[in-house]
Order: sequence, then structure tokens, then C-alpha cells
Amino acid sequence: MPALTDEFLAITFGAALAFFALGFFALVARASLLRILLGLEIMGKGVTLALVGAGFALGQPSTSQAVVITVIAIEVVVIAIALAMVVRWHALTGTLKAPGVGARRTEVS
Amino acid sequence: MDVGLLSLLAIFVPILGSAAVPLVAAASRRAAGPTAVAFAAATGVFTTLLLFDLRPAPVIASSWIPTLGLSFDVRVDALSASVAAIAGILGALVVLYSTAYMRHAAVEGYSLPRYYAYILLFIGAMVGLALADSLLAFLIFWETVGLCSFLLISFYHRDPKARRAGIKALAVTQAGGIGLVVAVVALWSQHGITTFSALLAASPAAAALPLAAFGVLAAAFAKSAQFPFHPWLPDAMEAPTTVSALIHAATMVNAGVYLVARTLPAFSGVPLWLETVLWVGVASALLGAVGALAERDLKRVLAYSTISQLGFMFAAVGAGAMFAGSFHLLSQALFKALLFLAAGAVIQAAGSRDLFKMGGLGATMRLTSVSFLIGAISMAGIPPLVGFWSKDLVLEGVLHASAPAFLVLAGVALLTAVYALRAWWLAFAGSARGAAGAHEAPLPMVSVVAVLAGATLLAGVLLEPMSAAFVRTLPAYEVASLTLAVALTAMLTSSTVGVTLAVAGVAAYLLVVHRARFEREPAPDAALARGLTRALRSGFGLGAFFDILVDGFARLGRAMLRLDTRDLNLNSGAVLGTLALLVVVFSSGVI
Repeated sequence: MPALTDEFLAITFGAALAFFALGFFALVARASLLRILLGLEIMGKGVTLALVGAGFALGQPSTSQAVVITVIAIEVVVIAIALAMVVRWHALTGTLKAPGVGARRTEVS
Repeated sequence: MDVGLLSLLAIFVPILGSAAVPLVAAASRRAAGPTAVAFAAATGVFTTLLLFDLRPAPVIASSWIPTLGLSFDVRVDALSASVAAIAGILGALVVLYSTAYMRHAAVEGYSLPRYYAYILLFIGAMVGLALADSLLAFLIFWETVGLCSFLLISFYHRDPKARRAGIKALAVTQAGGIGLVVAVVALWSQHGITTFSALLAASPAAAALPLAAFGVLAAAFAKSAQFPFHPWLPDAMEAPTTVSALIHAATMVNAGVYLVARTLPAFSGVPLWLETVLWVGVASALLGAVGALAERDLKRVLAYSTISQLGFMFAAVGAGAMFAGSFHLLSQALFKALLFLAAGAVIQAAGSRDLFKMGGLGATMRLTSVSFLIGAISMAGIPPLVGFWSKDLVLEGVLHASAPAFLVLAGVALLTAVYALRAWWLAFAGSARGAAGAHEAPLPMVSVVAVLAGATLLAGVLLEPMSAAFVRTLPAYEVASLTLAVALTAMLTSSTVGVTLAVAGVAAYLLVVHRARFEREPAPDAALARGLTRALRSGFGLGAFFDILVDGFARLGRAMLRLDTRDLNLNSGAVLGTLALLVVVFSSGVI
């Protein structure tokens, strides 16, 4: 196991939080379903990074690796199903705009 | 059969069934219903068999995740096995009833295989929730139950009201559910507690206990629609009536009561915890009863009555009378399933849920009418029906703990008699105000309703064996042994007999002397009545609170959109700047 410095953990958790915030922004502030899904993915990456950092900080890298691999596998399934629903939504409505979103939301691709 | 294997079968057969039904339906559309009935009936049989193999200690059913020291333990004691059996048996009856009731849904273009798949997953998750000893498994089943309730409440997905009700139920129960996640994580990380058994054996001085206790309570109140989380339940009436019966009797709302009853010995030492359970229960009982009186929608009357009856259960558990609460859970499950399934037949016959557009249906739907009346007087607590035994046990338990709480609940018991008989009278008796040509429901529906009516009449005799099983398998819970004779003597010599007499008196008075009053529709220009009804409908302003919760993300999104500078360089710069700021803050050791 590599020697850990506080800077390493600071960068890991800082990046994790930044990813999470960025993804959350896309999730709630964007009207395009694709951007919402991208936001969801970026949030997930933030969580994954935090798990990696926590594993190193607690000296249990193998446990966190096992959890992270599981999270990645589950994310693939989630995004596959979500994309299938987006494709269906596009076929039904001809748009990628999220349903039930107010008119004040702008710029739909 | 080995009890561990039997438990796994009871949990995973319906879950496998939920995957199997759509596959079978792909081969033959007509086979979906019978397949679902077969899987649900198997679950009913497995959960019934578990009742004959009760044991106080948990059993390791599967080693699950050995690297984390987690095993899939099941606990088959009287409490968990009775909740599981209620879910399994009533679930099977609801599925059987659905084969006739849901025909119209297929005509309207809703997918029946999807319906059966959700229902079976719902039943399996509820059985798993009841039997699981591992906290992590419990949490997974808990969230699965929440997910299924969302999917089923918004089953009529083309109706925006149904979609909104589903989202509301999900948002409210998940918001409370965060408390359960906090509790599980706190117990695990602070004390290494991963099972209910370890929790019950934990030292009362454990540091994470108060946080866990109130976290669990928030989750339980949200799941069981107790004050202040209650408004989602009446709105959930947009679901098919079979789903309402399932949510109110077999699954979902029972989960909250079960969780609080299960953790009672561990948390009863936490300051104010028991008092919170007792008074939230009393407040919900009162609120639900008043709501049921003001409603004109038959299903919403029943929804409010569930809030009220669950309030009785929480009050009993908060008073330390865990057995009384559990017996009322069984009793409520029986008569509420009966009332909802009878109501389903009525609504289909009348073509409306409005009580003032029914009336006189007893003439053509005699069996449904008699069954509904049996359910209604059981809910009112009139002897010898099962509701009498359970409600008197609850009142007696609460009387020992708090006299003011007893007085409020005694008043609520009177209101219960009024709203239960009002609903029956408006639907089945008096003058016909619509619904010409109504006729009795088809055989699968009528037979299920008749079976439940018989059970409601006779289930009082279960008091003795159930209390013996509780004493034998739940040593930590201080349950006193009860026989029918002892219970009857205790009731006759305590003041609860007064309540029963008063309830019977009110019921007789209403039915014989005052019945015409029920039919008087509230005058549209009566300002007071209108204001009160509106306040009740909005859940005393709390409905609006949850609309804020549900709409919160859209509002938050609009607010956050202002952060968007519409310039890629500035946006990227802001993200990188935030990252740099966070790194500096973290490495400076402030956090």
C-alpha cells in the first residue's frame, strides 16, 4: 500500500465532492434527459471516488475495491435501463425534454 | 422442513414469481393470472408453515457476504411470523381477487403481467422484511416495499393524479426512510451491530442508540402514514382497489408498526422515545377518525380509518403493550382487507367512489353488504368480532400507561363507530342515489370477501394461541400470557367495558334512530363545514408541506440554473475553482 499523505486524501475527497455537486447540478437544473443521465453518472463517479478514498484512509483498500467494482457494475445496468427509457421516450414524444418540467427551463438539445 | 430453507422459500418464491409472470405471459397472455395465483398461494402456504415452527433465536439461512461478516439471518418468532403470514395469506387472497377485478384494466390497455409482477415482488419484499434479522437485508426489503408501493400506486400511469400520488408516496416514505439508513449506519459503524438480535442485546448506554431510535421512528411513521407524514395515504387511493387492500392490510403500512414493535426493548430506555410513539399514535388516531368522518369518497374514508387504526397500534406499542399492538395489527389487517375488497366490488358496481352517489346497494349486493357490515362493526370494536378484542386490549394497555391518552382514544373509539357505520349506511342502505343496474360481483371476488368476513367473525379465538406463542418466543418483550377468559375478565373489570358499551350504544342509536341524517349531503354554502372539510383534505396544511417536498427538486433546479453563466470557459473555471477551494479547505485540516 502506498504511503498516504493528507494532500492525497484532500484531493480525493475534494474531487469527489466537486463531482457530486456538478452531477447534482446537471440532475436538477437541466431539462435534457441525456444531460440528466450524464449528471447522474457524474454524481455516481463522485461517490465511487469517495469510496476509494475511504478505503485507503481506513486501510481497507481491498474491501473498497470490491464495493467500487460492484458499484460500477450496477451503474452500467442502471444507465442501460435509463437509456432504453430515454430512447422509448424519444420515440413516443419526439423530444428529449424531461416530462413535467416547467417552461422556465431552457436550452433543450 | 428446515426453518431457514422454508423462510428463504417464503421470501424468494414470490420474488422469483415476479420475474416468472411476465415470461409466462410472453408465451401465453392468459396464463399470467393463474401463474401469479400459484406463486402467491405457495407463499401463503410457506408463511403458514412457518407459524408452526416458531423459535426465539435467529437462524442463519445463508452466509451471504462472509468477507464483511454479514450473513442472511432470519428470525421466525411469533411477531415476525405473524406479520409474514398476514402478508403471505392476505396477499394470496388479493391476487385471487385481482384475477376478476383487474379485467377492466386489461381492456383499458394496462399491462396485467406488469401488475402481477409488482404485486408478487411487493409480497415477497414484505415477507422478507418481516423475517430478516440482518439489518442490511431489512433495509433492502424496506426500500423494495417502498419502490413497489410507488409502482403500484401509479399503476394507472396515464392518469396524472395517479402518477403524482405515487411520487408523493415515494418522496414521503423515502424522506422518512433516510432515518432508517442513518440508524443502520450508526449502529454498524459505532457498535458493529448488524442484526436485530445484536441490537436487542446492546447495552442501553450505547452512544448511537438515541440517534438510531429516532431515526427508526421517522422511517416507521413515514411508512405507516402517521402524523405528520400521513397525507400520502389518502392520495394513494388513486391506485387500483386491490393495491389499496394490499397496502393497508398485508404490506407497507404494517412495516412501520412491525419495526417499532421489533425494536421496542432496545429503544424503550431512550428518553422520550416511548412518549413520542404513544402521542404520535394518539394524535394520528384522532386525526384519522376526524378525516374519515368528513370524507365523501369511500376509499378515502377507509384510508383515513387506516391512519386512525395504525395510531391505535402505535399508541399500544408506546404504552409498552406490544402484544396488544400486534394483535390489533392482525385484526386491522383482516377487517381492512375485507372492507377494501368489498368496497372494490361496490365501486365497480356503482361506477363511482362517491358515497353520495351510492345508496341502496344492499338490495342487489346482499353478500357484499353483509360482509362490509361485518368489517365495519369489527372496526367499531363491537363484541364478539376480532376488532373488539384487539381494540380493548389496546385501550387497556394505554390506560396502564397514561390516562389522558386513554381518554382521547376512548373518544376516537366512539368516532370509529360513527364513521364505520356512516360508510356502510351511505353505500348499502337508505335510498338509491344512482348506480342503477348494480349487481353482485363475480365469483372470485365474492368468495374472497366471504372468506375474509368469516375470518373477521372468528379470529378472536386466535387471541389465546397467539399470546402463548408471543410469551414462548419473545422473552425480551415482557408479554403477559392471556387466555380469552382472563382477557374478558380484565376487560369487564376495567373501564374499557364502558367504552365498549358506549360504542355499542352509539352504533345502535345511529342505526335505529338517527340513520336518515347520514344521507343529508353537506350544504354547499355552509362556510364552517366547507372550511373544516378543506382543512382536513389538505391534512391541516401538511399536504402543502409535502407538495413542497415533491416540487422541491424542480424549484431547486430553477434556482441552480441561475449559477449557469452560459459561457463554457466561466463554467469550467467555476468547477475547477470549487475543486481547488475544496482541496485547500480539506488539506488545511479545518474539517
